[in-house]
Amino acid sequence: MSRASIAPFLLISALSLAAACGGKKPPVANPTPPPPGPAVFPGATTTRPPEPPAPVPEPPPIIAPEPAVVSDPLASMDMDEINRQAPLAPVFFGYDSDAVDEAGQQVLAANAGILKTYPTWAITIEGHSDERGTAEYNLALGERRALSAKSYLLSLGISADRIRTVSYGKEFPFDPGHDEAAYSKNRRGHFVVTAK
Amino acid sequence: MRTVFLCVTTLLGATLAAWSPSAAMPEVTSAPLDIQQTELSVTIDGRSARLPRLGVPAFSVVGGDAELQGAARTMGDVLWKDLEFEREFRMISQATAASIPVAPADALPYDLWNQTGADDVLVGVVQRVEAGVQVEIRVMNVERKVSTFGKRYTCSVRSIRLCAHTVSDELHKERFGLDGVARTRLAFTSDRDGERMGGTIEERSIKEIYIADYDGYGQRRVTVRGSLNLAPAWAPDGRAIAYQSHQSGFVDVYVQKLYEVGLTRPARGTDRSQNFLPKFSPDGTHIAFSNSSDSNWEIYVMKVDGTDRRRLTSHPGTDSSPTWSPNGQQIAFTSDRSGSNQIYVVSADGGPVTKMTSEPRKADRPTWALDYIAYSAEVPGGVDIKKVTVGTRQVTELTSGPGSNESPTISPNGRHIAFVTTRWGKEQIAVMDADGRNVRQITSSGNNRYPSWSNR
Repeated sequence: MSRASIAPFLLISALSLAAACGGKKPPVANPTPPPPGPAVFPGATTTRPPEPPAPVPEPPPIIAPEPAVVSDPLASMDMDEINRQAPLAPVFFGYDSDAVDEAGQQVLAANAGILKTYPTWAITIEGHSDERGTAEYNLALGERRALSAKSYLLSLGISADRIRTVSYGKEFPFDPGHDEAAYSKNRRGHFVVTAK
Repeated sequence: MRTVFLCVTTLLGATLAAWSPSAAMPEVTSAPLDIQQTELSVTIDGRSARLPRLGVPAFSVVGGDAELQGAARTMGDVLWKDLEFEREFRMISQATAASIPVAPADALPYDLWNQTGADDVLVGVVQRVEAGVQVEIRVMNVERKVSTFGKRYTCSVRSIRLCAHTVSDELHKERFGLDGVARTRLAFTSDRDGERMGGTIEERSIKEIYIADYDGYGQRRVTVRGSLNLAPAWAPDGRAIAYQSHQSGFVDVYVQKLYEVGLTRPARGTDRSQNFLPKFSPDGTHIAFSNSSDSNWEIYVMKVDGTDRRRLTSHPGTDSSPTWSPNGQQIAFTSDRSGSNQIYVVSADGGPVTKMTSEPRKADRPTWALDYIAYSAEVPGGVDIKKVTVGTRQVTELTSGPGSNESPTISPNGRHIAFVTTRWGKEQIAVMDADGRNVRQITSSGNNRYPSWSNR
């Protein structure tokens, strides 16, 4: 598992570096073990098996301009701390909808910026729903939401290899309430950093 | 002489750390007693056209310590409830029965029983024998003063409930030709243990799979996956459960044996090809499930070992929640291909689909028994359970509140439905008759979802 130690990126240099090598596919640490057996199924013709992780290139040597520059707190955190910090904001959805609205697009654009700043991060987008409708239906709805957030990130140039999706349906409400205030918080694509 | 061996719930295996198995596997055996009955005369007159009224006085205990006395009481109570459950007998209340002196079968106070309106009286005699506990059951006809059912059961104090369930099933079978469900079980998902998921995210309760007797007794956890484990489905032999788990960070189908170590992932999911909502075929050889690749959910069937995987549906819409017809030749599922979720049927070999419902909102989670499919229907303010008769497409509402009622699963004899309800606050498993009557609460701890009724 490659935990490439490019953590000591500095805030300023990290931004410019990301811009400089934005076209490159960053190496991704795969957080879960590969499934047993080949992932190719007859019939699932639309599915491309996930590519094996590319060999990890040596990070280019970075000349820190000034050691006095304030260090990037996110870069020095471990993954748990990052996720507690939740730098990637959730995107919210309308009732029974998987459409990313304008506010959602702004959130995703900001998240894309952060992902470009930290090109080694891999994320999981969790799709969640409110409690209305059947549990089974909400599993599919949650997945559609996660995938719709993912495709918007892809359109902003984030590599598909960095994004996993999973649906939690209505199993993990963020707000246990039974009113629209709670529901609107629970209809979300929630971002978790799974590798850095 | 017929001897019936019952396989009883002794769970083995390292995966069952939450429940420590007892050493001996209890078993219940039954053997017929001599009865005087020569022919069972059923005449269609005023008396037999209604349900026979049955009294169950307290069981007699021969000799007997406090433990045996307790076991005898438990057996009488459990049997009374089992017999009431199928609604083939009209049960005389236990309070009324208690007002009549306990007596052996050959000295029943028939006059007193006659005054209660009883047609039959079930008499039980319990004693210790070398093999454990022996229970003699006789059903005496009040009018003719003869025994119409007589069997001797050998069990143990620990398996006394199973002994009662066995009597109930055998009496229903002999008297009415009915396959009772007293020995069936329920599986479901629960967060009752309050354990938290590991990792970085908010406080999230894990959900594990639990099983219980059909009456809710003996609830115990059978998975320790420390994750989100949903939608259990019994193998028809009752010895394995398929379910979907988020354990790998994505959703995949797992098959877990209950009485030996064994856990497989036959659908071999990945984060780009996730698998949901498995259901065993009635013959136990195949599993139907939903696969999602690139946001397109389709219905698949595979052998239990994952081979011979076939895609049954091919539509850009979402096809999910497959369930088998009782003969295994068709599969009902949910699809939004017409705009909103409705129930459809397809041959288990694929081919054209038939639309079964036209719900104003959405229909979901079909489950099929006899000639009908029960499903969850979205209604204003929640979800309620309906059923559609397959031949006529006639729809009947089975619940109408209170709370939301969803995720039906039908007992193997088609006469009862377990489901999830919020009528008591949190989400609980309840059981009702297939006509919507007699709702009984099965779970009361935590939130419980996705019930599955075992075939045996």
